[in-house]
Amino acid sequence: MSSITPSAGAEFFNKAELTHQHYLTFILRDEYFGISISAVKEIIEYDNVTAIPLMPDFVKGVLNLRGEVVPVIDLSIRFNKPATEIQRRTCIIILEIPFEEQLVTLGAVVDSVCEVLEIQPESIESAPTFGARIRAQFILGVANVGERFVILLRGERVLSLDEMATLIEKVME
Amino acid sequence: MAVVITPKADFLVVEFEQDLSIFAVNELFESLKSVPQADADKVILDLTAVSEFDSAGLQLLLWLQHSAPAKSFTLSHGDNPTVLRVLNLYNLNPLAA
Amino acid sequence: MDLTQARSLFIEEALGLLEVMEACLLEIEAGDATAGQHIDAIFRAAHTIKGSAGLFGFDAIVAFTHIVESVLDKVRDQKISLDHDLCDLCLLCQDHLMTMIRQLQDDSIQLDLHAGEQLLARLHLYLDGKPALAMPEAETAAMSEHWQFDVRYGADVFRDGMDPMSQLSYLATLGTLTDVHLSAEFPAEHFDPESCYLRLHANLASEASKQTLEDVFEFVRDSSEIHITVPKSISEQLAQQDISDEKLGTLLVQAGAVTPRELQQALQAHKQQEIAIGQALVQQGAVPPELISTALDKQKATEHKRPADFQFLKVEARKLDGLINLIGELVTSGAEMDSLLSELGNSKITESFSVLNSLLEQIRDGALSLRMVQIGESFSRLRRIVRDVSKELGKEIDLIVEGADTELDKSMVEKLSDPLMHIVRNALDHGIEPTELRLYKGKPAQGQLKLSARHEAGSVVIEISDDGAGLNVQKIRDKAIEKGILAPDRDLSEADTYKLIFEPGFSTAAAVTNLSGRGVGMDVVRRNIEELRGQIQIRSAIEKGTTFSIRLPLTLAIIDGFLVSVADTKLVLPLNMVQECMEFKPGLQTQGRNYLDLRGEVLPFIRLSDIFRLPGRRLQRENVVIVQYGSDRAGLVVDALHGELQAVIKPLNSMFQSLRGIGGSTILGSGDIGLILDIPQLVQFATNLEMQTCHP
Repeated sequence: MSSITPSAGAEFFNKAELTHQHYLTFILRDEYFGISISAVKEIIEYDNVTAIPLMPDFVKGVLNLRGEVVPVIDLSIRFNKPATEIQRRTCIIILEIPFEEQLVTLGAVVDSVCEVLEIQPESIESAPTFGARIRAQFILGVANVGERFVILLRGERVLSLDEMATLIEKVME
Repeated sequence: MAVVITPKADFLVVEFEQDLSIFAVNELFESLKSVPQADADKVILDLTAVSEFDSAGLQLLLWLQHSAPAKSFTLSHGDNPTVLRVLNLYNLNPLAA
Repeated sequence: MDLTQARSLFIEEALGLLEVMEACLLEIEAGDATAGQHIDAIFRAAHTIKGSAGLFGFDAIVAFTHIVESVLDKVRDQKISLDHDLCDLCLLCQDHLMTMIRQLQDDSIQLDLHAGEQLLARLHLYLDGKPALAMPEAETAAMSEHWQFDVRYGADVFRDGMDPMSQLSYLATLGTLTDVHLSAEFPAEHFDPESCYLRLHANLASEASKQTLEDVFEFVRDSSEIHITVPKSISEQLAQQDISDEKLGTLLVQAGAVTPRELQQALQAHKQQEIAIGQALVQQGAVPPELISTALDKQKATEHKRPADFQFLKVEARKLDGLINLIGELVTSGAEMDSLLSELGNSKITESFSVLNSLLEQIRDGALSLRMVQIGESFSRLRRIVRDVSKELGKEIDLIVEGADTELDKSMVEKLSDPLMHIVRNALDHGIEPTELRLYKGKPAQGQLKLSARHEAGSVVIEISDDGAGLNVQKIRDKAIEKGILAPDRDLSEADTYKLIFEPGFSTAAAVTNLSGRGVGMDVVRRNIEELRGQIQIRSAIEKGTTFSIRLPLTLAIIDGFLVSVADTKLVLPLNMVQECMEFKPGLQTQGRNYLDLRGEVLPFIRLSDIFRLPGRRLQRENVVIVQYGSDRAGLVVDALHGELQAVIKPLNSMFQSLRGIGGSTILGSGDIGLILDIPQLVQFATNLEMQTCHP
């Protein structure tokens, strides 16, 4: 993984992208994240996820979403943190991620879902040197909402099918 | 076989199968050549099963009638819409003409 | 139907016809059929394309096909013979037409106009001259209140794909037809059923202009005698006018009695012969023998020209897929219902439901069969490749095709065409020796390539065999070691050595000629086959030849499965591979190794919980399922057996594509997800794992 410098962060930050002003916020390991609601299909409780053998840890398995088989990803592990513990409030955010000119449905496991916030593009700042905890390319920006910071994510990067496929391939070898 | 010719007591039944069109007329013609020479003087042309019927097919029937002027021809079409459409368009009474 | 749709239908139909044409020509060329057997089909293909292209105004295609057709017509009349040269020329023309038609779809395709002209020049050599056009006689028809039509159709009208009926039905849409009278003027001898002897008489009360009415006969104008008589009302009105001839003409045009072109011609006649313009127009008979331009909207009536061979209903693939998906869901919810009903234990309902279920199965089979097509289509494409490649390499090849009528899912046929093509090229290029070498070896000069397809136990088996040099185990081994694919100290069986040619990077630049190596190696072939849930095997014998054997499932949508579970994971095995099940007793196992003793037969087995590292509790009792795939057998050790089911295959997300041993997923009656095992892949995976542990 590349080290993150302020200049690299700035490169990924582009105000023109910030057209969607509504973000679904959720909590992962005591931190607040947001993702544009245009990518969010629905939110369901964590239940009935079928494990797939031999998969790396970030793949929790697949679930049956009204007849569709949807892969479920543990976001916490994607962020190099320990696996999400399944609790009463654990949710799966069902997202539609563009891939090869199609929308692919994926589920992301989060500790709990908060609310939908309207965040003006002006109040979004580029991610500062955020330590090396989350890869800068995952982050769209950071918004200061009330008393806390919300990290706004790029869904298509966090859940990049290409990248995840490569990771799985590595495990299979 | 695109056509089945069955001699009955005093008449001949000529049953056409699906195709009575330009694409089948050569083959049909070969089979029908014998009809004018047949003994029977009544011929029933059965077009009930025909699904492709065009002017070339119609012409073949006209030829049959033309080359056997002594025979009486009866057309059976079983209200086949394909056949009726052609006959109505050309203002033809079922082979009375 | 809108125009775009009609157009794409035309393109599809034309491409299909060209394929038929190609297949026929190739058979004639190969001596598998005589020209007499196929000329009608070839002619008909060209003829239909010309006719349909005319409807859309694709003039270039019409013009080109017309010449091709004229030559073919001469062949049909046995005026010229379809010899090797002409066959070759026809194939080139077929290629050219293919390009012309593809170009309609794809602007990026470049058409070599020069090549087209050369082909036409070559075709013209076969044509002595053009038949003279029949010029109409002057005839004066009686005046009436109606437009009067008297059409004496030319002999070639049917052969040109026209039908008087279409004009008549179109006229019927323009006004009221009366006194329709059809007669035929048969010759005393030699009636030709494909020639037209018809004469049509009709009256029409209509407001349409003469131009419109004349246009109705546009397509037959140059072959037939057409007389259209102006209604009395118009002509009387005109007769009363005392005006100069030129003005009369203008008025006639305005009144719709003559077309501007007729007027112009009449004026010319007037200047030359000093006759009254009105009379000149009548004499002229209004049949200009110039080439026709086309207009679709006027020719809706010619739709009947569909050849009788095509007793097919064309359906959008998307609609069909939608239906098949729905039926898949239906089967799934049927399974769910079934499990609920068995809990309920009401025998009447259960019985009634089983009837429903069996109907459901029939519907499923019927729906799936809609997607089935004969593999022959792919094979005939290969026939062309064999011909071209053997010509290029100077090798004589005898191609034998068996089982071309074997049916396979359409999407598979499409995906198969590349791998098949590659294997065939490979066999021609590397398998079959040059003629001299064959003679030296005492083999027949002509190499043999056999394509065969057949159904076998719920699968389709496609084989491509050649009688060439066979695969040299040592050479493959050396090359694999050289390429770093194989460790020098590894021992491999013969069959495993053959499989090395499917390894990425095995095909070398040196071995790649412009024929067999189009940038893809045999690894792509294997991957394509595996994507279809198929397997590929090689049999070879030195100096005897090589056989590639591809085994594919019949369909990609639904399988009959056998449900088992390992720990908490539900797994589905393809039922056709399951041979028997039994309890897995320690006694069956042979000395701690992964083999079991099945009635004296030593069988390798795989413990699924180990290979998949599945967590969860281990049941006391284990079962073993004996599976057979191709010629191999193995045992799979599982926890519980749950019985048969129909599984609608849901492909896993593309990010799982590197996952080995699992081919897809399915939703079980309970709503849980079951994973469908890909047994050949699983065994391969297990073998690799074992090798890694044995050879660290």
